[in-house]
Order: sequence, then C-alpha cells, then structure tokens
Amino acid sequence: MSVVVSTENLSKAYKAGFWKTKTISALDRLNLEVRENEIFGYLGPNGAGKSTTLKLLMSLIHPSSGKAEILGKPVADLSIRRHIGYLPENPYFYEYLSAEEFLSYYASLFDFSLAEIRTKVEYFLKLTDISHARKLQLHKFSKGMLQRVGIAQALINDPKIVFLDEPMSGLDPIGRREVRDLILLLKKEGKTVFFSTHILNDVEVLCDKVAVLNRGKLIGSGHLTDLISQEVSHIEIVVSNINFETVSQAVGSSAKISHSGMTLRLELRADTPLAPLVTRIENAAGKVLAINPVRQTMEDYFFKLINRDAIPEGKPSIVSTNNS
Amino acid sequence: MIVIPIAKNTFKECVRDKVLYNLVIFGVLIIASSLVLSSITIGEVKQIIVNLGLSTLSVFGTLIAIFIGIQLVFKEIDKKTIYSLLAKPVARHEFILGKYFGLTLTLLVNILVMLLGIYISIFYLRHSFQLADLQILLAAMLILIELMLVIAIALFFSTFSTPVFSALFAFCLYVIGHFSSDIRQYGLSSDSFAIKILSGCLYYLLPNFQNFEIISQTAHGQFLATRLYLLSVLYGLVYSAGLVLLAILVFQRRNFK
Amino acid sequence: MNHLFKICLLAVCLGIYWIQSAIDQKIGLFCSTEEVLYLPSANVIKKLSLGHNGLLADIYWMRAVQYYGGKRLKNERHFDLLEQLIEIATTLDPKLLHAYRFGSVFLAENEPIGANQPEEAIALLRKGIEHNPEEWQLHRDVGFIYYWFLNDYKKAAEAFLEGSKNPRAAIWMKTFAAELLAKGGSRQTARFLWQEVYQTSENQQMKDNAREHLMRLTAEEQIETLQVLIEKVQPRIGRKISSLDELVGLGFFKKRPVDPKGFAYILNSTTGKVGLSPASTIRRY
Repeated sequence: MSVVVSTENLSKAYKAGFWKTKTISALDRLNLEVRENEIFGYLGPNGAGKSTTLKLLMSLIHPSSGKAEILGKPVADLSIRRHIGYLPENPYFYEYLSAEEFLSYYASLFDFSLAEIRTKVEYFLKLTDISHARKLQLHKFSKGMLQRVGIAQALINDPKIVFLDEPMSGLDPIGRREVRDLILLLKKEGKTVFFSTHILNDVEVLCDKVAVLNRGKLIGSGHLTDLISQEVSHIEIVVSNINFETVSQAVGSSAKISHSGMTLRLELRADTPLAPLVTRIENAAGKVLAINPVRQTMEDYFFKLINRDAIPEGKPSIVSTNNS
Repeated sequence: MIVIPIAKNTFKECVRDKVLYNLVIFGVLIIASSLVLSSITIGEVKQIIVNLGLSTLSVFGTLIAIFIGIQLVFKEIDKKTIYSLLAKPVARHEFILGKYFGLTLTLLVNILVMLLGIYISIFYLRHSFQLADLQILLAAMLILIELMLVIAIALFFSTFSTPVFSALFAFCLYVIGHFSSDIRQYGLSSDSFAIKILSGCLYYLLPNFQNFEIISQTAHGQFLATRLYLLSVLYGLVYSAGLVLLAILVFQRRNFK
Repeated sequence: MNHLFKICLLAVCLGIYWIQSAIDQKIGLFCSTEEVLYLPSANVIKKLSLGHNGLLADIYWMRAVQYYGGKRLKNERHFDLLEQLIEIATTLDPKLLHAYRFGSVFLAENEPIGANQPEEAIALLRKGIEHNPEEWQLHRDVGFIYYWFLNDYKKAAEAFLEGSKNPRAAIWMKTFAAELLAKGGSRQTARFLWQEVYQTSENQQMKDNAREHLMRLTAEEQIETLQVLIEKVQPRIGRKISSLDELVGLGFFKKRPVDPKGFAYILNSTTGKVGLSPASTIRRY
C-alpha cells in the first residue's frame, strides 16, 4: 500500500511577544507516514500540536522548515485539494447559510455540474442525518449538528483522504458512536482517514496505526497491534473459598494479592508457570474462578510515553481519557 | 472559476447582513425626501434630486464599503470559517478576489436600487425623461468605481488589521483623498525642495478621490468630458487593482493559527 | 509568482502616475475656463460642515492662499475663484480676520499682483466689519482701498473717520481723514499711508508689500525731479539731452542716477521722457 501522507522534519515555530522576539515551537521535526486505506490515529494531549500538524497539511499555515506531502505532491499544490476532505476542530461555518446552502456552496468549489451538486448535497444531508434541518440557518444548529455538517462538507468531494480534527469532541455517546461507524464506513469504501483525538478509547477501537505527539514532538508511533496487543503484562487469577494466608503460602511472594468482595485477586508475572499453582490452590480446597492474561491498553501505553517525555520541572499535561 | 461561487456567497453574506438593510432603507428614504424638498424650493427641482440622490448614493455606499469591507476577511478568520474553505481547491488569491467582487456586486445592486429611486423621483416630478438624465447613470457608475476603490482600501487593511483599525485607516485615507489637490498645491508653492518631493510623492501615492467629484456637475446638467470620465474610471480601476494585489500579497503570507 | 506580483505592482504604480498626470492636465484646462461653476455655495458648506466650520474655514482660507499663490507663480492674470474661496472661508468663520485683511489685498491689487477687484475687496471688508465691529483696522483697510485702487478720496476719508471712532484706533486716522479731504490723492498722503503700513504691520509679506509701494513712490519722485532737471538744463545748453549719461558729463551726478532697486533710469530720446529701466523690478502700474 502506497504512502499517501508523509512529512519530513516538518516544524513550525511562532514568534511571540510584543516585539516578536520569543520563539515558540509548536511542532518540532515531525516525521510521519500514512498509508492508503489506513485509519490513522493522531494522539496527544491538548496543545500537543495536533491541530498545527493538520493545518500545516492543509497549507493553512506555512512550515518554518521541513516539508509535507499528500498523494506525492507538496501540500501547497492546489490540485491535491480535490482529493482530500478536512474537518477543522470545533468547526464554525457561515451562520447565515442554511445547511443545504452551505453544502451547495462548498460543492460548487469543485468542478461538479449543478445536477451533481444537487445529488451530492442530498446524499450527504441524509448520510449525516441532517435532512430534517436542511432549511435551518447554521447559527441555530447545536454543536453535535454542526459537527455533522462539518463531516458532510469534508466528504462532499468524495475524497481519497479525510482529515478529521477531533471529530468526537463535544459529541454525546450516540454521536460518537455514529462518527465511529462513519469512519469505519469510510475505510470500507477504500478511503484513508487521518484523525486527531485525545480520546484513547476511540483510537483503540478504530485505528490501524497511531502516532503519539507531546509538546510538539512525536514520541511514539506504529501499528496498534505492534504497540499494545502483543505484550501480556501480567496474569490475573481470581480465586474463592480460601483465605489470604493459605493463598500467600501457596503462591509465594511473587504475587500481589488483594481482596475483592468474597474473592481474592492474584496478580502474577506473565512468565509464572500456572499449572503447579492451580494444583496447589485446589489442594487447599480453593476454587479457581478465572485466569486472565492481561494485555497492555492504549491508556497504559500512552501514559508510559507521556510520563517518560515529561520534563522534571513541568507537570505532565492533563490527559482526559474520557469525553471532555 | 472558483472566484464566482465565493463572490456569490459574499454577496449572500452582505445581503443577509442587517447593516446593509438599514443603510439601504435609510438611503432610499433620503432620496424620497428630495421630493418634499423640491416642493419647498424655487428653481430647478431636478438639481436637488440629483444632488441629494447622488450624494446619498455616495455617502451610504462609502459607509457600506468601509464597514462591510473591513469585515470581509477578518470575519472569515475570526469565525474560523476560512479553515474549511481554504482546504477546498481555493487558492488564496481566488479567495480575496471572490470577496472583493462579492462586495462590489452588493454595492452595484445597492446603487441600482437607489438609482431607480432617483429616476422614479424625477419621473414623478416631470412626467418625462430627457437625454440629459442619462448622465445620472454615468455619474452613478463613476461613484461605483470610487466605491470599488474604497472597498479595495478596506479589504487591504482587513487582511492584516482588526476591524476598528481598518475602519480608521480606511476612513482617514478616504478623507485625505479628498484633499489631494491641497497636498499638491502646498508642494508647488513651497520653497523647500524636500517638501516639494514629499508632497509630490504623497499626491501620487495616496488615492485621489477628487477625481470622482462630479456630483454637482451632474446636477447642473453637464456631461463630463468623455476623456476625463474614462481617465477617472481607469484611475479607479488601476488603483483598486494595485490594492487588491497588495492584499493578496499580504494574505498569501498569513498563517491561520 | 511573487516576482510576477511585484512587476504587476510596479506597473500599477506607474499606471497611477500616468493616469493622474493625464487627469490633472485635463482638469487644468477645465479649471482655467469653468472652474467657478463647480463650487458649492458657502452656506451649503457651512450646513454640511456639521459644526466643524472653524476647521473648514481654515482649510478654505488655505485653499484661497494656495490658489492665489499658485496663480502668481504661474504668472496667470485671472483669479476667477479667489473671491468665492475667500467668501466661503469667511462665511464658515466670520471672525477669520486675516482672511478679510489679506483677502482684500489679494482682491484689490492690480493685475498681475491681484485680482483687480477693489469693489469686491471693499464688500469683503464691509462683511468683516459687520461681523467684527470692534476691529478698527478693517476700516483703515477700506480707506486704503478707496484711496489706492478707486482713488475715491472722499470715501476713503469717510472710512478713516469711521474707524477713528473706535477708542483703540490709531490717532493719525482722524487727522489724516481731514488732510485727505483737503489735499486728495497727493503723493504726500500716499507716502504717509504706506509708511504707516510699513511700520505697523507685523506680517512680513505686508511689510514687503508696503516697502515695494514706498520704493515706487520714491522712484516716481525721482523721475519727476529728473524730468524737471532735464527741462531746465536743455534751454541752458541749447540742445536736446539724449541720454542721462550726459547729465553725469555735465557734472550734475557722479554716476548715472539709479532707482531705489539699483537700476539706472533711462531717457527716451524721442519723447524726451525719463522712465524706469525695462529691467527694473520696481512695481509699476
């Protein structure tokens, strides 16, 4: 599968302060590769530089150094915009337009005939479930509905690559589920989806590949399966009908034991041989209720990276693992 | 041409702006009031209608050009609508041109509405039209050219400044532009070589709005000399083109954080 | 792309320069024939000034001065707009004293120095008096104009007398009025008036103007003296004098007599009249 989005040492620094003397680095030598038909999760705490990257890819801001390519052409090349869709973070659109007018306007920016525009607008109004509000001016739209309009406009040209900046933020659980389904649908249609988020759960459910960004720097990337699923971090055994002392005698000091209601939870290292352990518990009249190999989650991986990256004097950025 | 849908949308934006309605309604009212004024004056009634009508056209047109012009680009950035738009196959210069022509179109329609008011007033009073009435149309078109220059000024400032400052700059340039000849005269009659050079530079560099001062001439029923009219039109168009070009140059360098 | 833009910008700048020059040329032609037509009336401007009439008055006065100065510079003889510009300035601000005082001089002076409109100058001053009755100088200026430009010594005397009623007025005005009634436009009264202006004016241009007039008076006196001298000498030497150099040869002068600006007087040998040298910069009427 070919590379459709790539960046090479892409950096963006802003001049700040009244005399523009201070330099703030928003993105530092980013190297990314997104392949065709991938769902690429771009992960990072708020302010990590995710939106900056997307804006650089959209040529909304100009890089300080480095380069970025989409479909093999530099991002400044206008011709690639026919094949991409972009949903900005917290999208705002022309308030004075109705949903229908807005989508028609954006469709008219491509070389579609009037009839094509009409069918496309119709299709996407239905797909994003805003047909009922088509005549409503956008300033009367709720946040969730605006997000749908935003997605509709990003898809209006049937793009090969879709860039979504925090597509789930501000949505209720149902809305988030719908966006997830939509992203999976896009993959099924053969499109590439590049989406940024700070919601780890979404990434785990959706992504083929992830990249983690913190303080403008890429701190980890790879296939989701490579990063988290393979490693079994420990084994959890749940037992009952046995008291604490007996168990600790049976398993030795290598296990962490904790009470959990009527049961005891044992945490063992992943390489512990299980068969003799189970025999010993059963010999002491205990009952083994469950044996779970515990794999690392996205959350664990993410925190491991962020904490490693955190510089001593600063507090690590707050990462919300849920809907903000 | 991508410029056309953007211009159309800008037109829509302006038309749905309440500011525009207020100004247009007020303008039409003033033109209508010239009917009352003509009944209490002695002499040529047409003159009062033309003077008042064209002045209203010019003043309200300028207000619209400045107050909507300074918002044109700023609003798109401020309301973040520009993010999704520029991710479409829209080059930045096309965006600027679309915005510019959109507001020009708005002002054209606005002028036509007021012009209709003027002609209706004249017909109401005289029950006939004369060939000389045609010059009101010509004068109105020259006012449109003048307004295109005002829009270009406002647009230029709006690509890098806040609305308040843009309005201030645009208004100052507009006022100064009406005193161009004083700047030149001052230079001509000054003994200092430095002042001569400075005032000469300012004279040619600043927009000269005196080139468009033709309202009272029109009211007196005189046709402008053709060559002078065409030169004035050309001046407005070339100067506007220069400003729009500058606006594009600034806009292309901008980052939308 | 960027280079293309820069070239376009340059072209625009040149274009603007060219078009503006063409317009100015065209308007220049227009102005010299019809410029008066397009000035709105002073009262309209006052209404439209929305309370900023003081500022506008200053601007219009500046315009009047520039207009006058510009015409002078180009040596044009028509000052068609001048009266209206001053009229607008003084209507916008009726207390604009310098507009009355200088404006009346600009208007009254003979061409090419002024517009040769002494009647209008007097009307302007009368308007000034109406709005500024306490300013006695305006009466004096009226007197001047009657005296110099209209040669109406009776009216001039009346004006001086009128002005002298003001307790702050210069004392000479009353006596001068009487003298004027008795002697009319003699050189003596003239010299007195210009001397008065020369000494009391604070403005350098006014002073210079008065000095010019004083020089002219001196020259006139000298010419008359020379003429008398020649007429007396001719019968005595029994032939016509054809050049002023002969007077030097006859021992009347050490060198050829010169006017107050240093140019030698000349004698027209056919008419026998003494006059200013064509090169002389003494003002003449």
